Amino acid sequence: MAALLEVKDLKVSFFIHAGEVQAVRGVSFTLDKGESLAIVGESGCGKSVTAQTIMRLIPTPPGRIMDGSVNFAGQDLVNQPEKGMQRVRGKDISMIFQDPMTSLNPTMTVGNQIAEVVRLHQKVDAAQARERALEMLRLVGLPNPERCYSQYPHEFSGGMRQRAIIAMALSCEPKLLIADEPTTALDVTIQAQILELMKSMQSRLDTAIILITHDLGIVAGLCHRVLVMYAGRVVESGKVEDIYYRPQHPYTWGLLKSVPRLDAESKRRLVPILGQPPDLIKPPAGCAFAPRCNHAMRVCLEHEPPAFPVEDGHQASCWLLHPHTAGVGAAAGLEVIS
Amino acid sequence: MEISRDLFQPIAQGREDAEAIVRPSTTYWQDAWRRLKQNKGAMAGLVIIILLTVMAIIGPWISPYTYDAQQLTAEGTNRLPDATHWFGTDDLGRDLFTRVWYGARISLLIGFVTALVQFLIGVTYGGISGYLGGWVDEIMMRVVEVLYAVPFLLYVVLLMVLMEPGLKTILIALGAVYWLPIARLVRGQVLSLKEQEYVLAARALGASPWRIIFRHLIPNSMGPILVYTTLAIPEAIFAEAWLSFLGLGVSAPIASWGSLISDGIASIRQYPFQLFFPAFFISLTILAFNIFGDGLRDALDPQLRK
Amino acid sequence: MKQGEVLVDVRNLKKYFNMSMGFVKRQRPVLKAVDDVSFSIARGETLGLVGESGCGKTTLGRTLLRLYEPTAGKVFYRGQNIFAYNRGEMQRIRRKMQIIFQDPYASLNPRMTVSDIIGEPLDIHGLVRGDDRKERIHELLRLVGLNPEHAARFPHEFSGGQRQRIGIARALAVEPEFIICDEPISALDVSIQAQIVNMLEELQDNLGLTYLFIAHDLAMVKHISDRVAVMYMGKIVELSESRELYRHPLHPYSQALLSAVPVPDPQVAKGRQRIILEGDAPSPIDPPGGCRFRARCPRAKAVCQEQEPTLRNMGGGHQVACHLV
Repeated sequence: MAALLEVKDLKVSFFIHAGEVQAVRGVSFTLDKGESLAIVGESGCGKSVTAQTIMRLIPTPPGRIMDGSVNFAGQDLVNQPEKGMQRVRGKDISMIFQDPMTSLNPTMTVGNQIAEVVRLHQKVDAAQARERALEMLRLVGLPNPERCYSQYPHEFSGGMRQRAIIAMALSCEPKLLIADEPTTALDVTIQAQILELMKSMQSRLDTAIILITHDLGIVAGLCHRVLVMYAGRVVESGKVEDIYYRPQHPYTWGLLKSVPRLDAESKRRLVPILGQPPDLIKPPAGCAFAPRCNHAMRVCLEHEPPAFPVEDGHQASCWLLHPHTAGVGAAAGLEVIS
Repeated sequence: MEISRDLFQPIAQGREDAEAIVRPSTTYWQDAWRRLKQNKGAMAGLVIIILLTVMAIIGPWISPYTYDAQQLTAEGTNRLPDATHWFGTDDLGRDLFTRVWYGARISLLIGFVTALVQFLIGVTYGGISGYLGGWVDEIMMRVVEVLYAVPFLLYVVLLMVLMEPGLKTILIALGAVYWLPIARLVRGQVLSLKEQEYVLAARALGASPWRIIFRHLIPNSMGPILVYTTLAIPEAIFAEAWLSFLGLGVSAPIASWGSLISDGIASIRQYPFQLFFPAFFISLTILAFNIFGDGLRDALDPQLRK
Repeated sequence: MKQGEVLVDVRNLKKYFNMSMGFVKRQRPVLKAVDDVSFSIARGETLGLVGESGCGKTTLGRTLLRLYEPTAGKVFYRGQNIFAYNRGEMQRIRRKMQIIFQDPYASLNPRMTVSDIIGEPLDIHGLVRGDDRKERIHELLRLVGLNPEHAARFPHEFSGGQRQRIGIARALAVEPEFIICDEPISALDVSIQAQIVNMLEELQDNLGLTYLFIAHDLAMVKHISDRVAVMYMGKIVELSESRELYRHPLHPYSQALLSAVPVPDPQVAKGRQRIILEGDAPSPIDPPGGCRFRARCPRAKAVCQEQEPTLRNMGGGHQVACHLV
């Protein structure tokens, strides 16, 4: 079966006064129908830019797609004219953003906003669009959909707004939903509601999901596969169990070790990743993570590591996986899991 | 690619590199200046403003005549522009080139001084009103509204009656009116900035209200204030022009662009050049300031900041 | 609770905001952001304060420092009620009590250099001058792991984690004893959060600091705190020794909060039963009588509507405000 989405060697730069910021430096991945993929990494690692490039939402200028291809259900999205993208956005691919406060138009009722999206992409009359919008509001668990339909966004709380946004995003039954930090602005109890909702919507509508987040916690319960990004590149990718139980890249180790576990019995010092991510206006030669890595070798500073396959569907770009260093990586990795 | 085995040696890392900042340091004002330079219109406006200012300073010097020297002869009055009188002469035989640049001095002086006065009063008044808030703010803003309610013309006429007409009176009249909008602008800025966490931090450190207003709030409102002040200069020049036009401005033989236009109107049918030169330069000045002010607004807009 | 001298003692603190609704409505609704809260913090201790946005935790922190004027109540610092202090006394106590803010982008004046930002408290209190001032600024920068060469740079040139450390250096400049950490890590990436938390812990050990650590990240609060208070709509609903709270949460709200925290472990996450709360917190403007949590509480009974529960001691310093416990 052909993949739903295939991103190949994507490179995106932003040209600003100080120079060229290489935000995405060769990202490749595939996504199957109905699959959910998490892109994890800290701010500035290029995860949001990757998502926005798929939707062709990066502002040009200063942004520019330098190289690579995005193939979605047989269509090339990189060279798609703007008109064609408008048909794809909202219908085949939807996106939800971090801030539920600014993602809705404050001057339109919530229901009308959803109905408008439906009418834009489907040949239906006003009454049918209204029906569909009401159905979506009911589906995302908003109490009293009729009343919600005619309310304005400011009458909604943050959690209700994010529900309404999800309703809007899924109203045309897109094949792919891109969620960019959908719960970061929400409280834990609301976050739990929204994650539960996304999970149930996915199984009901068979939508593929790309979840962009910096929080490994919310990934564990929701996603099948994980892509760990650092400094504009994918450093490790694999099934969710691979990443949590058999991580291979020191950056992934760092991410796992720097969060405290609620279920930990004894108090242990956190192990942070020291330093800051590199400024992508001047990406370092070799491995971008090397300056912060405890296991750095001379080779890391000179040569960019290729992706080493670990097991089926699991690969990591780290010289520790090279046959010359056999054993070192495995030993260090074991320490993380314990 | 074959990589030699000895490269696979662990290395001790200096942690400092990971905290290094590679981009060169730029300040807000450097950034703004860079953006302003890219704006061709704004730079043209700035060049015109500078040229006009320079001419206002040296113009009266490079001409052999003084602004009030009369030449009451048949060939001396109402001369067309020629090699000796570049802009011609008026009905009293005074050299218009000299008078136009002398008038530029007065007009630009009024523009700059009014802007400075309104800046000083408005920023202080608005800053205090906005920061202290509560009943102090209520009273201070009611005062502004009352002053707003007095018609400008009425108030200038009153001042003219009380004081002798002239440059000083015009400066006082304009200065007293023009700080009102800037006070409101600053108050609005301060109100939105004073809940910012860096202001709370300063309060938690025990900073005095004075320090908070002048070290934290005003510097951060400087962008819109500067734009407003720049745009207020042509407004003041224009206000002076129509006061002079109504006969409430500077008195002869002192000239301003407004009084020159007023004189030129009288002989528009016979000698249109007497109106053309002052009118042209006042329009050019106002245009230049407006284009420059707009460019400044774009350059200082934090929204565009990357 | 660590045995020792009580450093901060908060008694029946209230902070109400009058919501202005224009001229027509004479009756002004009241937002009870902090409503009758009492607790104490021992010297050298870290008290965690958790709750969702709008529960009043940030207002509580700011009111403690009199950044907001309190509506009622008392705050004793080393036995002295600081709410009764005049300007001069307050100025002196500000050297002892400091605050670190949530947003590393909003908490530093963008028009000042790092050296001016950290130097400001030194100038306000006249602590050091001239070359000593410069040396002290560099010392503070090194203390928080920043390069003194960057002192002349502006905040926007730093990353979020570095900016947060500048904020910490500013607070430390006056050599405080007590620091309110108002969500100091929630705007940062996870890998950077650990840097800041470790730094706060080290500073506490080395300088003997006392913290009030406000956050909504329960895992981080558990990690750093000795005791934890859970806040809901302006009230403390549960307060206990940290591990005890996480092992045996008594209040239904604490239970729901804990169960909502995502666990970074796929198998645990898939097998786990969550208590998903219905709806959102009701508006804190003119809150309903009785227990404020009852509308979302899975176990609410008639008594919860009639009577407002008060904090009761369940033994071992574990306090809870719930009729059903």
